[in-house]
Amino acid sequence: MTLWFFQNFFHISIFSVSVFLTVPLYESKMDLSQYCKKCLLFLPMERLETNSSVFDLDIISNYQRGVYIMAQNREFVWRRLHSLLGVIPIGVFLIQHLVVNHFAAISEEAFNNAAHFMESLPFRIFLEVFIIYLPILFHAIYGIYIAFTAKNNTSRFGYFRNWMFKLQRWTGVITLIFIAWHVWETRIAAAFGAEVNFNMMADILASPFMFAFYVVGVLSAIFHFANGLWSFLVSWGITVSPRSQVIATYFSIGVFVIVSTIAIRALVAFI
Amino acid sequence: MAENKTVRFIITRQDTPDSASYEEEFVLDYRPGMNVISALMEIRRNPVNAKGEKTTPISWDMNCLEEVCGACSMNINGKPRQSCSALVDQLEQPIRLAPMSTFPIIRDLQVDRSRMFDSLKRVKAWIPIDGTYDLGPGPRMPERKRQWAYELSKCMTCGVCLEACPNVNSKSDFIGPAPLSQVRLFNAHPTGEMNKAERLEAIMGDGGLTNCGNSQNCVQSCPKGIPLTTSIAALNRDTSIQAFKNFFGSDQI
Ligand code: HEM
Ligand code: SF4
Ligand code: FES
Repeated sequence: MTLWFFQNFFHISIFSVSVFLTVPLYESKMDLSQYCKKCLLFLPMERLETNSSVFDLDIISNYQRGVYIMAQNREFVWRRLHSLLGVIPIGVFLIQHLVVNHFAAISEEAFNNAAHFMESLPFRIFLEVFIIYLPILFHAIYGIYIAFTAKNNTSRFGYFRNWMFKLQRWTGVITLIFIAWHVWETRIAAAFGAEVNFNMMADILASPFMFAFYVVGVLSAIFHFANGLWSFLVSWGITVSPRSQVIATYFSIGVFVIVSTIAIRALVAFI
Repeated sequence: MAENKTVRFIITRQDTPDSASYEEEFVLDYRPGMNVISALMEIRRNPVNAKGEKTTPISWDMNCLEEVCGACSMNINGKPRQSCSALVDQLEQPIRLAPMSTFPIIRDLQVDRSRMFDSLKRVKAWIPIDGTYDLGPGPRMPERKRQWAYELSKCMTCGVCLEACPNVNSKSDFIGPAPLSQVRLFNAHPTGEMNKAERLEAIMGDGGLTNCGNSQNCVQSCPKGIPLTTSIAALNRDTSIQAFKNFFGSDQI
């Protein structure tokens, strides 16, 4: 039953991610800079720019305009892709990873079995590349770009959401540093022959410094995910009314507390 | 009550658009009910700074003097707001005045808000009713909806929300909350709605809606109490639907 769930779940995720990865790739092959913005005819742009406030757009179809918008103004697509990937698959992977880790709080053997089960999933490298590496890479690179185009101003505007805005960017950067180190220490080490198991983590976390580093890294990833869920709901227009946004804030706090408890219990179990 | 009460101002000044800024201090006699603009007018009448030196009058923008035109916005004690409605009695002293940093400075406290008007053009924040013949009356607007839309129509392009937004800065092309909310206003109008898709597509362009990172400073700062973040979230929903229609096709234009 569990096996069935994991197998199918991964296939469904792969499918949806590939679709969303291909859309911008496909669109970016089209060079429409030479085309008229309004009708997609091959016309010199300068002449059209001078009289751009026209309402005669109705002569072309929504589809044509849509193609133009997506090809010329890609930011919308990139931003929505960034937002989507943060939840599916990265957020889902984060939860799954922390739940598997939590087997350590049950017993060493339970953890090793769970880790071994994950390692022996079919098409492992394929799953890793499409569900973990590529989405995180894209989300992180674009996320850094987003984070550094902001000019934080919590000292002048110390409102709650402005703090969350700043923390979302900071925790993104902290999480990136943590993930890079964590992947180096575990997955890359595994590629060079180390065995990833309970003992490996116990060794790493035996150092108080590394334990603190893991606590900070994991908590920042969870904060980033929980607060990211809140902004995901806004970014896609799911929570529109102020009231629904307040309730979503409580929900995201709940997610943070519950997931953090699971994660910290697992970390403590290794020492 | 022998000695006169005074008011101290520290003003960030700049002589030309490209020169360096500097601070100048002024001490004025207190008058009951004075506001920041009446103080600036007092300095204009007698341009002498706190050191007793003669200086140039301060340059600033104003028009309505009743918080409806948006021209007189500046940073007052660090917060962007209208100087015509900023009462000295309610401000902590010394009162610090500085131009809004989001906009190019023309001189002293006077800034160039053209980018906002350009954005309004870009998002087609108007209702096209001109034809080659009389198009007749448009559809009626329900009174309840009119009252609701009136709130959105109060925007005076003052620039406070752009100044408050961490994503509106020299590193980004974000057009800011005000023009976005205007798209919601014009899309809600029964005639304006006929061009809904074009406005949505305009804000789906670079520098548009998706640049919002939800700091929600705008809604906290807007002097007109416009529900900017509700507008943004509603537009996020509308553009989700529009993107779906554009990509997969739709039997409606
Ligand atoms: C554990 C890995 C991560 C998860 C689960 C995750 C999840 C999310 C989610 C769900 C969002 C909300 C999307 C939205 O606003 O619609 C988000 C936003 C964001 N992420 Fe991540 N993320 C991760 C790693 C990173 C990394 C490594 C960075 C690099 C700096 C980053 C930077 C950002 C930024 C800047 C935003 C804000 C985007 C915005 O407000 O428009 N994230 N993330
Ligand atoms: S939305 Fe409010 S803060 Fe922004 S420009 Fe309009 S009136 Fe000013
Ligand atoms: S002068 Fe018009 S808002 Fe202040």
